[in-house]
Formats: sequence, structure tokens, C-alpha cells
Amino acid sequence: MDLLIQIIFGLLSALVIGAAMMVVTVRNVIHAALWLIASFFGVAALYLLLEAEFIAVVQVLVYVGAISILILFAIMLTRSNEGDRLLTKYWWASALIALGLFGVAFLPTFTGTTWNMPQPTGPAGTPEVLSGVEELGRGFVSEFVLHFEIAGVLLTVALIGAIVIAFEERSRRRRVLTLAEELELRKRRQAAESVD
Amino acid sequence: MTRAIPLEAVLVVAAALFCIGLFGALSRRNLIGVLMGIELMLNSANINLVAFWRYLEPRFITGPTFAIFVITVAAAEAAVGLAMIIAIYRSWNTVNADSVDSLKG
Amino acid sequence: MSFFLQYAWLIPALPLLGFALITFTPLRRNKLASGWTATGLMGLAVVMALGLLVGVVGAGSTESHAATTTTETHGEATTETTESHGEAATETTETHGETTTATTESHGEAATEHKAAFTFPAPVVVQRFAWAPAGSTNFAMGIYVDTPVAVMLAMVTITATCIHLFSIGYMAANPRQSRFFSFISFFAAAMLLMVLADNLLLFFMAWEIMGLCSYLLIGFLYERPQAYRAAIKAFITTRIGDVLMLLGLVYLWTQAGSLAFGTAVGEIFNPEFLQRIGTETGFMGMTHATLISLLIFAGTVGKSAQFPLHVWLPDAMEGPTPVSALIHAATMVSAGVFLVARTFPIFEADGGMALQVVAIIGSFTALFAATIAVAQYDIKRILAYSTLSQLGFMVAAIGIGGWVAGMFHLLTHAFFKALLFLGSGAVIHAMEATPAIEKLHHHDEYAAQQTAQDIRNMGGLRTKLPWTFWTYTAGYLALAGIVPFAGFWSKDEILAHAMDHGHPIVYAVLTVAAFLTAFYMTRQWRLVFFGEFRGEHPVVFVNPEHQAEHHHHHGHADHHADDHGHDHGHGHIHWHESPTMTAALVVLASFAVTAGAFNLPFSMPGGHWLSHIWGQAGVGINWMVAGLSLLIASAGIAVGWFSYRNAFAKAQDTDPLDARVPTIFAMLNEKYRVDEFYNATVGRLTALLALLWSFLDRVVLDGIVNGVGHLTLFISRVNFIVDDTLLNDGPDAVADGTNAVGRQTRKLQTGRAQDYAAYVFAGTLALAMLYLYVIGK
Repeated sequence: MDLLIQIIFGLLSALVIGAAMMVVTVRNVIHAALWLIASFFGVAALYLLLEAEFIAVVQVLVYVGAISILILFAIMLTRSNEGDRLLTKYWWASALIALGLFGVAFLPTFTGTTWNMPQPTGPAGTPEVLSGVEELGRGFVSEFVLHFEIAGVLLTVALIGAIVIAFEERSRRRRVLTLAEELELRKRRQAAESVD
Repeated sequence: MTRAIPLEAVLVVAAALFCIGLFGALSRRNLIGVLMGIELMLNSANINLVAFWRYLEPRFITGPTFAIFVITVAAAEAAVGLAMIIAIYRSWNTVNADSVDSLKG
Repeated sequence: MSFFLQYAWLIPALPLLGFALITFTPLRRNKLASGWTATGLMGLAVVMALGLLVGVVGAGSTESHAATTTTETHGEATTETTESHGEAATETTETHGETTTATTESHGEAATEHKAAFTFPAPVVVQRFAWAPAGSTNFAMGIYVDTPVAVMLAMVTITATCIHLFSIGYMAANPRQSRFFSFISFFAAAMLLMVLADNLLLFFMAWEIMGLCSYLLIGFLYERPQAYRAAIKAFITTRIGDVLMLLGLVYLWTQAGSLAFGTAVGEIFNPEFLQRIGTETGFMGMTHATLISLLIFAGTVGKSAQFPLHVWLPDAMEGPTPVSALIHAATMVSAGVFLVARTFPIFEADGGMALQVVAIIGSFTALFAATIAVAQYDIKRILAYSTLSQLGFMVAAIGIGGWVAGMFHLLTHAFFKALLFLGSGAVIHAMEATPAIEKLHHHDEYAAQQTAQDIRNMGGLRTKLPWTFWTYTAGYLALAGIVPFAGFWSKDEILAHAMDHGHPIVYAVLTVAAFLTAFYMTRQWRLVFFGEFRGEHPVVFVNPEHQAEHHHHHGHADHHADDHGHDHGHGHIHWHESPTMTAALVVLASFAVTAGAFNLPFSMPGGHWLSHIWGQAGVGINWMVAGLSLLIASAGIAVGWFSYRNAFAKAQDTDPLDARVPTIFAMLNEKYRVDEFYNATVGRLTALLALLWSFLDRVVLDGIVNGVGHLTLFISRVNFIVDDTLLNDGPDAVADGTNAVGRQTRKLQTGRAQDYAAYVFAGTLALAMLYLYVIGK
């Protein structure tokens, strides 16, 4: 059983990391987005393995279901055949920084820990693991009520912000026209065209 | 799971994911690619939150709660970020990060 | 009274409501309605604050009854908060009886050691709720009311209401009046929240919001380059102090595991904790307490504009005058002093080393700023330097252990300095309506305003603006330290404390500063209100922003002004005092006259009232000090009056001081050239770093194809910099320095967000490696 879990974990890690590597190296942005979806799925499976089922479901719903679609739409809207280079001029500097950070995190872990030792599941007599939706819901309305409200405000702000930013062209117009005015405008334009 | 896999292994996976995401965010020219890198970084932070909760403090609900908040923030960030990319595309007619340098001193 | 105690949190909530109403509802389209909404809500906050003050003092003075009353209140409050916050709400209450015994105990212990350690009066209302529960730890946030807090609240709400009222008249002509009231209400809410905060983190958050509002309001007239530059300067200069202060808070957190005010175990004023950090060595031979105090004091230096970081406050006068009155005279700048007062036990814990620094900085600033104020012409800048100087008095007072004296001066100063600023606002408002300046206004608004603020262009306003004159005189006498007025009592208490507790140098420095205060205020008062009106032929401010264009207009404007003077004379100038402005002035003037009565240094009923309610020993009157300071203030006034009696027959005349000692006057007029010094030194350091970076950039990134050439260039540039710094320290070095900064730092600013992020993560990497392989080993 342990071996099976280890194998599954290994495969999932390989999927997550491999897909992430593809995301940052593949030339076509659409392909990168698809690899990103694969990576998100891998992370969701990791959550399942960590017994955080609800988070796994949220991960699939939000990341795979919403953010990825948003990204695909953005790619579609900003399609342009430009740029011969995939990466910036000094990409190797950022690669060094990223590798250095990984090394700084990895080396002490690698040298300072005894690998593959079975971990205790906590002191004896500890209650069950809390991960159910019920506990989460309770938390949101009691302990974390402030955070919850702030998250709600944040989402509202982001929604309004996204609309305001993306609909810039309409705001550049003096004001939003009513339907009648729109028709009037169209009629006038047609008239002008027919004169030409 | 907690018996078979040491916590460090999960953390290393998260660290690797973070660094890959960082590389993407710092060096991809396409702004959408940058955003994807940032999403990967946020995901790795989430893995850390869930892993620490599961291994160290399974009796408190804090870990998953904050993971959900991170997902919320990521969603908000993606929405605003992509809106900004579209706005940039409209005014600069490009989605390349290194073409957008009006902050230049 | 229990209502006021229980709903103390409404005090910051009311102006916040005002902010929300003005910002988010259609109210913002109506200038007048928005102004009156903000003022009305502030007025309600005054009622709440006064009710709270009465309640808190009542709870403190009737010892035996207090325990029951407050417990009752707490009982109600507990149920209230529990209902609203559910399980999350936690309530820490200390019944008065318990804390009183604790206080006396610690007094007894301390007295046997060396000298009585400072203790705060027991809190009357403490309401806390869990803010960010994370696993088994949680951080409580809430409000904490004791008598100093209640007094501060009353002061802030009263001055803020007066200033709101004044602004209705003053800002009437401004098209963005609603925005102004929205910002200023938000500011008031943040200030009140800061005073009420029960822990240093909440304190810091409110502190930062105030910084933001200050930035927004200094740059309120953002069409003017001077205004937004001043706003940025203020924001960045105070940021230096704030970052250090945040470090101090982090340090304190690592030591105490809490930032909550209070003396219980686990709170930051716990006697054992203070004892520990006062004795354990932290870094470079200094104790934890010294380091924490100095870091926190850096926040004060930034916010209260003490000596090395004082440069932002005079420039902040670019904001509208009510802003100068509220933020840059009465409340925000004194928040720095309040911070030291609030964390005083930590400053005291190390046996006086930190307080010594505080006293030195404070008294130096008091004298330094007072000398600069002598040679300024701008009515608001004189008051700004005076504010710096008076803040120095407060900081010095707290530094020598005169906690009550410092806080008392903070209160009286807030009233009379707000009054003086509003008075100057009324004067400027009237000046702007004079024909010569109105003419100027048509082609350069900024120059017109600066000209209107120049005291050389005023004169004889005593009969023209009688209300302003009399109220301004009250403020002036209070600031100069003449006997029944507020400033005399508080300043004298500081001086008496310095004398009685063996700080003769501080006493001497502050006395000289007091003399200068009386002198420069007399100079200003004399030039503004007496003599003949000189505004028909003003000294026109030359705006460096449109100098080229201005040159063309300049003669033109003068010509017009001349014409006007000849044609109409001053009979046609319409002098106007708005009723709301006058009302605010009168209220503040009444406080400037009487606020000294809050802490009279006599043992009579009502004497030492503040000392008494704050639970501190009162400083008795020292007749010698009092007599001497009265003498010195009178001497300052006399010297000022006679020096300027026949000065400035017309605006273009030379200042008598300038005529007598031109070099010193020029140096003072240019504020000791501190700004230029900063440009030359800090700027140069940046330039050197940037040079290093550009060297790396070229050699490492683009290869060493042109290496030799670049190296030679680099060496010659270093040579140039060294040469220029060491050998050529003339005034032109300043210009070169600034230029070099500009040229070199540009290379770092590629404008690409990814590069900036890369710098951040490179820094993270460096810090991580530093921690792992250098510090951690």
C-alpha cells in the first residue's frame, strides 16, 4: 500500500513538474495554456492524496474551470503573430535566480533530513483530521468571518476592476448611448456612406 | 499518505513548481505566459499550505481555509491581470512584456 | 455614561461614515452638503469623545464606585460584542480594583529600586476581537481607552471639527471640495483609530493611513508641480522613518510575542518583560529595549518631522491651509509624539539611554527650527518651522521624562497652532482677493498664491480683518508664552521639569528656542497686522516652473499692479471674513486662551487636573523658571517689536536682520541648505551604486568586447566623482550631483516589470543565502 502511494506520488509529481516545465518553455501560448491545465489537474490530484478533498474540487472548478478558460479567451483576444523570441534577453539570469532559490530551499532539506522515514500521524488520541466542508463552512462564518468578508469585497473589486479596465474603449466614448440614440447614429452613418 | 511520503518530499515538489513558475514569470516575453507563471507560483504556495496543515496541524482548519483564500485571490488576480493584458494589447498593440516599458526612467 | 464607554468605537466610525457617504453616494456632487455632512459627523464625534472623557474620568476619580460601574459597563459590552462577533469575540477586561492594586504594587517595588517607573493609568474600556486566528495562535485587535487616550480623543475631535467648519468657507471656491472633505474625514477617522488602538500593529496601520491621507492632501492641488513634488517628498521621507518603526515593531514582537498595550503577562508593558529587555543585550552592546525604542523613535522622527527627517514638513505647506492646520500642525505630526508617549515604558526600560537620544533630537530640533523661522517670509512656512520647533519641545519633554509636560504641550499646541494656521488661512484668503494678486492670478495661479502668502506684502490687516486679528493675537500670545494663555503653562511645565530634574542643557536650549519663538512670532504678527498695507505693490513670487514664459509676463503684471494702485487705492479692496471661518477661529481661540487651565501648576482644587487624571505626580510651579521664561518671552516680543517697528515701509524693503547680518540671514533663509545637502550626499551614494551597477551591466552582460574602453571610462568617472566630492565642494557640486544621479540611476530603471521582479527575487536569494550560510552558521 505504501509503495503504491509512493508510486502514485512520484507519477503525480512528475506530471506537475513536467507540465509546468512545458508551460514555461513551449513556444505556442495555446499549448502552454493546455499544459497549464494538465499541471493544475496534477496539483488537484496531489490535494486528493493529501486528503484535502474539498480543496481538490475547488482547484478543479476554479483553476481548470475558470482561470484556464479565462486565459484561453485572453489568448484568443490578443492573438498576434509577433516576436521571434520566446524568452526575454536575459532569460538565463532569471533561470539562475530561480535555480538558486530552488537550491537554497532544496540543499538544506536534502542534507538535513532523514528521507523516507515513516512520519508519525501525530500524538496519540488526537481527534480526526478536519477537512470536511462542514468545518470549513463553520470556520468561514465564525473564526474567519473577517477574512471571508474581505475576500468577498476583493472579488467584487476585482470584478469591477476587470470590467473597467477591459472596457476602456467604451469609457473613452463620452457616455453610453441608449438604444434609440444608437439606431439614430447608425442611420446617420448609413446616410453618410450613401452620400459617399 | 503521511506514512508513505515524508513532508519534505511534498515541499520539494512545491519548491520546484515555485521556481519553474518564477522562471516563467521572469523570462517569458508573452504577458499571458507571465501570468501563467504566476498561477504556478500560487499553486505551489497552496501545496505548501495544505501539506503543512496535513502533516503538522491537522486539527485546525486554518490550512485549507487559507488555501481557499489563496485560490480566491488567484482568481481575482487572473481576472484583473487578463483585463490589463487586453487593455495593454489595445493601446500598445502587443502582449510582449519587454515592449511595455513606459516606466523607463 | 456607560453608553459612551461602550460605544467608544463610534468615535472613529463617525468620520469614517462621513468619508464613505461623501465618496460613495451622490452627496459628492453637492459641495456644500458634503462639507456639512463631514462637519456634522465630526461634531457628533466631539459629543462622543467628551462623553467618553467624562465617563473615563468619572471611572478613575471615584475609586470605590468605579470598580462596580466599569464592571457593569464591561458586562454589557461583553454581551454586546459576543452577540455581534459570535465565537470569535474575546473580551479582555480588567476591573478597576484589580489594576489599581497592581499599580500600587509596582510603584512600591520600583521605588525601592531606583526611581519610580512610569505606569499608565488603568484602562477603563478594553474591547478586543480575534483578528487573524491561525491555528493555535491568534492576534487580538480592538480599542483601549484610558485617560490619556480620552483626552487625546477630545482634543482631536474638537480641532478637527473646527477645521472642518473653517474649510467650508475656505474651500468654497474649489471645484473639488467634496474630494477634500472625503480625504479629510478619512484622515480624522485614521487619527482617532490610532489614538484608540489597543496594540501597536493597529496603531501602525492607522498611522500609515494617515500618511496616505497626508500625501493625498498635500498633493490636493495637483495641477501644481510644487504640490505633487511636496506630496511625494513627504511620503518618501516619512517612509524612511516608518520602515524603521516597522522593524522596531517586528523586533518587539520577537521579544514579547505580542504588541498589545497593557501590563498583563504577554503584553508589552508587563514589568517583568520590561525588566528583561532592559537588561539583556541585543546587538552592538545595546539592550533590546534601547534598540526597540530607537527603531520606534525613528517613526516619530519621520512623522513628527524631527531633525534629520524634518525636510518634508515645510514643503507640506503646499497643501490647502486647513490641511496644514489639521494634519501638519494639530494632529498627525503630534502623532509621533503620542507614539513615544504611548510606548514610554519601553523607552524607559533601558535606564535612560534611549530617552537621552530622544531628548537630544527634540531639543536640537526645537532650536534649529526656531532659528530658521526667524528668516522666512512665507506666513505658512514660519508657522511650519514653528511647528517643528514646538514638536521638538514635546519630544524633548518626553525625553527628559516629563511625560505629562510633553502631552500637555501637545494638547495646548494643537489648539493654538491650529488657530494660527486657520488665522493665516483667513489672511491668505483675504489677500487673494486683493486686486494686485487677482491680476497675477490670471496668468499664474501658483505665483499668485505664493505672493499672497508673503508677509512682506501684508501689513495693516488689523483693522481690515478684526476677527482674524484678535483670534490670531490669542494664538500668537499662547505660542510666545505670555502668562494667562495656554502655551505659557505647558511650555513652562516643560522648562520647570527640565530644571527640577537636572537637565540644565535641555533647559538652556529650550529657553533660547522660546526666546526665538517670541521673536519670530512678533515679527510675523507685526508685519501682517500693523503698519500700512503694502499689497498694492507686492513682491511678486517668480515661479521657477514657468520662468521662461513668466519673464514675458512679469513686467506686465507689475505694470498692471502699479496702475491699479494709482487708480483705486485700497478703498476698493473688498476685505471679507466668512462666518464659518470666523466661528472656527473663535472656538479655537477660546481654547488657546483657556487650555492652560487643564493643568495649572498649583495645588488648588482643579490644579494639576491632567496630571491627576493621568495618575502622575504634578509638577509644581517653579517661580524662578516661570518668571524667567515670562521675562524671556517679553524680551523676545520687545526685540521683535522694536526691530520691525519701522521696517518695511514698502514690500520691496530689506529685512532689518538681513541688513545687519546678511550672511547669517541668507543661511537661515535657505534653511541651512539641508535639502541641498541631502541631494548632494544621498544622491551621490545612489550615483556611486548606480555606477557600480552599470559597470556590472556592461562587463558581465555584454561581454568584455569593449571592456578596456569601458573600464577606462568607469575609472575616469569614479575619478570624477571622487574629485568632485572631495575637492570641489562648491555649490555647483550640488547640481552636478543631482545630474549624475539622474543619468546613472536611469540605467537601473529599464521600465520593464519583469526586471524589477528579478531584482526582488535576486534580493530574496541573497537574503536566503546570507541567512543560511552566514548568519545561521
